[in-house]
Order: sequence, then C-alpha cells, then structure tokens
Amino acid sequence: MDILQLSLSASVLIVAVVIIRALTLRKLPKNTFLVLWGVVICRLLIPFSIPSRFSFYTGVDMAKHLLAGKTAVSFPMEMTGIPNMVNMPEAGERVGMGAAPVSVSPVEIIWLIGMCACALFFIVAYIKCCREFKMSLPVENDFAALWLREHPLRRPVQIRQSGCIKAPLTYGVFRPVILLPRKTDWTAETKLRYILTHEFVHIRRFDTLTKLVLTAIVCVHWFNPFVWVMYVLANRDIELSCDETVVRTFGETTKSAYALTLIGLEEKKNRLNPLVNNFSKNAIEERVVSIMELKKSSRIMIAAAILLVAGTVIIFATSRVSQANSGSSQQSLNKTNTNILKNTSEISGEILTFFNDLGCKYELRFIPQYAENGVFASWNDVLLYLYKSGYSRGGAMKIEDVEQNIHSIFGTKAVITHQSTEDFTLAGNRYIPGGIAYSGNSAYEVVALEKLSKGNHYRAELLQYNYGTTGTNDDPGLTSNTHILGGMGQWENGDWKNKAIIADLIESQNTKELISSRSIDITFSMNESNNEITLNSVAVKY
Amino acid sequence: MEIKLFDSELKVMDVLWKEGDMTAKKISDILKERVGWNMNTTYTLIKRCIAKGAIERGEPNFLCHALIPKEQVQEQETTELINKVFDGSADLLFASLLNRKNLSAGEIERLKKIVDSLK
Repeated sequence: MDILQLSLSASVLIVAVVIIRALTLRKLPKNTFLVLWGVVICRLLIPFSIPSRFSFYTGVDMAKHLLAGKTAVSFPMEMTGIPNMVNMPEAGERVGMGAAPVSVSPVEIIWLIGMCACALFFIVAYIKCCREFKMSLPVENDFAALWLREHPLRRPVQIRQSGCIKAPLTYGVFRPVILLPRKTDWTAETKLRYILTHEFVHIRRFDTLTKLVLTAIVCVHWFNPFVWVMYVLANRDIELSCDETVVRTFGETTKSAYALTLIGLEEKKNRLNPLVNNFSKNAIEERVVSIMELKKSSRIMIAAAILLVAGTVIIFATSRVSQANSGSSQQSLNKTNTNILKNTSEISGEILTFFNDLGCKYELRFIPQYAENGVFASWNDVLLYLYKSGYSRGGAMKIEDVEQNIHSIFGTKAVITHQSTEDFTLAGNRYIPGGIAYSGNSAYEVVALEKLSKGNHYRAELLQYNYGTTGTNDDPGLTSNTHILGGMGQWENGDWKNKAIIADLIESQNTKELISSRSIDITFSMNESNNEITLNSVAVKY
Repeated sequence: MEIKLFDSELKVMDVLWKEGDMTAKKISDILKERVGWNMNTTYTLIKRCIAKGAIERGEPNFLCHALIPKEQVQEQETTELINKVFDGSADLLFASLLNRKNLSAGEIERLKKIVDSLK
C-alpha cells in the first residue's frame, strides 16, 4: 500500500468518525471519540490492514457484483474446504535478479517537498515557542507548592509563569511544565484548581505527545483535507475528554462553575486580541455545551460506545476479503518478477493456475466472492478455472461435468444456475483460450515476462497446456501442465526472440519434477500501449 | 528615559542591580540555580536587554553592566510575542491557529447564557 492508498482508505474512516461524532457527541463518553481517532491514526500509520468479511469494501464489491449481474453460481455458506490462496511465494527469493532501479516519480517529489515544508513550519514554530517558554519564571507560592505535593506524578511537574501567554497551557512530555499567564490571580483558588487539574489531566494522559503524533501525521498526509479535519476535531476531542474528567473529579455540581471559568479565560484573551475567527466560536461553544450536558455515564451508554467503536473498526478499518487475497498474490508476483507484463487472457481476476518459481510450486486458485447466502462468481471464470485446472480432463465439458466438478470443489450443496455457455469455442479440434498459441501437441501461454537489468533481456514464463481436445475416449486429455522458466531472449524489431532455455520444469497432475532441459523458440509481439502480448509461434526443440 | 522590560528580562536585571557588574557566565550560573534557566536561555535574555539598552556589554568575558537604575524601568505588558504566532491556548501548534478563540463581548454573553440555561 502506498501513501495515497493509505490516505484514501483512512479518509473513508475519517468521514465515518466525523459522522458518528456529529450524531453522538453529546450522548457518549468523550473517550469514545479519542479511541476512534486512535483507530484512524493506526490506519494512517500502519500500511496494511486485516481483511474482514464485514468490511465496508467487501460490501462495496458485493454491490458491484450484484449490479453488474455477474451472479451466476451461488453456493451455500456452510460448505467447507473452500480453496483459498496457499503457498505464497517467499519474497526475496529472486531479489536482486533483474530488480528495477528505484525511481522517484514527480508526484512523490511533490509529496516529499510538501511534507518537509509542513514539518519545517511546525518544527520552527515549536522551537520558537519552547525558547520563549523556557524564559518563564518559576512560581513560588504556597498554593502552587501545596497543589504540586497533592498531585504527584513519576515525571517531575513544574508550575511556571510567563508574560508571553494569556491562557494556561502545558508543554513538555518528559518534564512537563504547566505554564500560567503572568497575571494569574492566585487568590481565586477554586478557579485555579479547575485550571491546574485540567492541565494535570493533560499531563497524566500524555496529551502533548498525542498532539505531536497528530501533527506528524498531518505532515505526512498534508495533501489530504480529511486528515486536516481529523487534526482539528481530534485536538478538540482531547480538550472535551479532558473537561469531562475534570468535571467528574470535582463532581457534577461544579460543571457550571467550571464552564464559567473557561469562558472567563476566553474573556481575558478577548481583550488583547482583536482577531476573530468564526471557526473557534463553534469550538468553545461545543466545549461549554458539552460540559453543561455532561451526565453520569450509564452502563448502556458505555456499552453503546464499545459497540460503536468495535463496529467502526470492523466495518471501516478493515479491507475487502477477496481484494486482500488477490491483492497479496498480485503483490507477491510483483515482488518476484519485476515488471510483469501479463497476457490479457491469462489469470484474469479469480482465474488462477499453478505456477512454479525456481523450484517452488505455487498454487493459484479460483477465489469466489463471498456473499450473505453464498458465493458469487462470473460464470466464465468458473468454467475457465475448470478447464485450466484440468477438471475438464482435456475434453469439452458437458453440463453434468460442470455440475459434478463444481460439486467436487464446493460440496454438493452448491446451487448452479446454468447459462448454456458451458462449451468454449473450440479451434483446431482443441480448446484454446484466447491469447494462447500452440505448437505440436501443446498450447502455450505467456504467464509473466520479466525484464532483466541486463539490456533488452527478458525472462519469459511460459505455461504449456497439453489439454484441449474434444474429449474423445482415446485422447487422454490433460496429462500435465508444464512450466518453462528462464527463457533468455531479446527484443528484436518489436518481436521477442528466445535464445536459450536455462531450465524448464514439468509438472504433472500429481507430481512435480524436473524432467528435462530443452530449447524453445518463441516469437511474440507486444503492444506497447496496453502491454498486450500476442504469441506468434512456439517451437520446442528436444 | 524609561525602558520597558519583560518580567524574565527584569529577572536578569535584578541580579545586576543587587550584585553589581558581573560576567554573563556568572549571571547564567545564578539564574540556573534560582529559576532553572539553562545557559542559552539566560544569554538570549541578556542579549535582549543589551538590544533594549538596559545592559552594556564590556570586556573581558562578556562583562555585563546595568545601564539604568531600577526606578527607570517599567514592566512591559507582554501580549504580542507569542500571541502573534500562537494563541496561548493549550494547543501548542497549528491547532491553535485554527482554534484561535477570540470572541466578541456579545459572544461571551451568549456563552454565559448557555451555561445559565443548561444549569
């Protein structure tokens, strides 16, 4: 997952949290939203996700399938032994062989510049503030000393005063300092207690650190407006949650006094600064109203909050089921073969076959889409899978064969809606899927093409099919799937000519062994615009 | 002539007024003990006092001399410095720019009414 995908998937989550926040802000404990923002932060920072059947994205996929009318075969849910991706190739096996040089795209450069600019702004501002705050003077009065003794923490806490600020604040993570304005009225002890407790709660919860993490995230995802929205709202929720704790500490009867203290702080600031920002009016009003509407959190509300968080995580913070699977297979192919050019007819979507890679056998399988009552799959995909994987035994399948084979994969409860397209086009007395060329008794398909770092050299991965007759009794049909690896070759005038074969691997239905080495000449053209490969001829020399 | 100084700058001047001329290093040592400033912080403040004409820098060893008596100094109301860039709200960073809370008198009144009505 790159940064853009990460940002996009997190955006959906942010929108969900913003909506939930708008609907339930006054009803649920404020910590709920902090937990939700925590989930968003994890989503923004951790570049992988856990697939879930209940994922929002799985739902979107299913809706797409339904709308596209691709629903053809549906299987009941209780079936067992669903084939799934197995034997993921180990990354790194072929690392170093033909690895493409690392290139940085212009988009990445822009992103990096933006990130550095953002980070620079924050770091400079932070250093400037800290330098100013360091010039503050320690408070030396009995009240402050007593209060500090009453509120011990493992970290040393200081109370200082500065003329540079108009409202109290806290800075420092490991040696936190509560900074009060120069003109603090030390006789108004109740108000002071509220203010100090508020800052103390910030310190205890490491809110300064949280805010720094949020700022770092904004720097990385600076291009995403949703992340900025999260930044502002999460900062507000930190305050709201802190207010909640303070009111609970002092008892609910104090909430109006506490709210008035906050308003008093606003009033002081107001006298000094003429700038007015509409955005903040909502923020302080939200805060005041939240404090005043604070109620004892009932068990029901706490339960609702837990459910809400769990639900949001499962639905929005996870990825789609099949996408995660096919995505990872894609990824592994990308890892092992740099610059894979796929023949358009092969491995489309869920159609998968065996393939070998340097002596390891990988099994790619047909992965149906899960749905409420069964599995959805494109009928063509099912049939192609059956043919390619050898279930057809070389013959054109009859309706009963298809049914029997589907049952053998998915169990007898599979419900099959036939579409009368069980037969594939047969050419030259064989079943030849599009894009496959044949020579002698075998059909070939280019599975992958790897560009080697050395000049125009490519390594082709050919899949040899031996099946494809009309299925007469004396034709044994599919006997083996052959995988040929390591064809070295060169592009010449738009054609790819094979020069030598390093090794080929022959895999029969049940066993896998290296049978022989041989040379193979293949020619094919590639359409540069869409990477489509047309196989022209294949000649195998024993 | 009157010079306006911030409270932290006054703290530096206090040392000079009470104990006479001394090197910047000595001032820094004294203030580290009294208010916990590190050397950089104290030197920054001394430089500010020099710029304002309250301290004269002499040699050797950055010898500091108070140019004005205590009576001629007025404590400066500090409002500009941090608040120009950052609101002194609990948010240290950018959030404070977005959350800058400056309300008109009418808005304050309205907030108080909200508190009253929700009591």
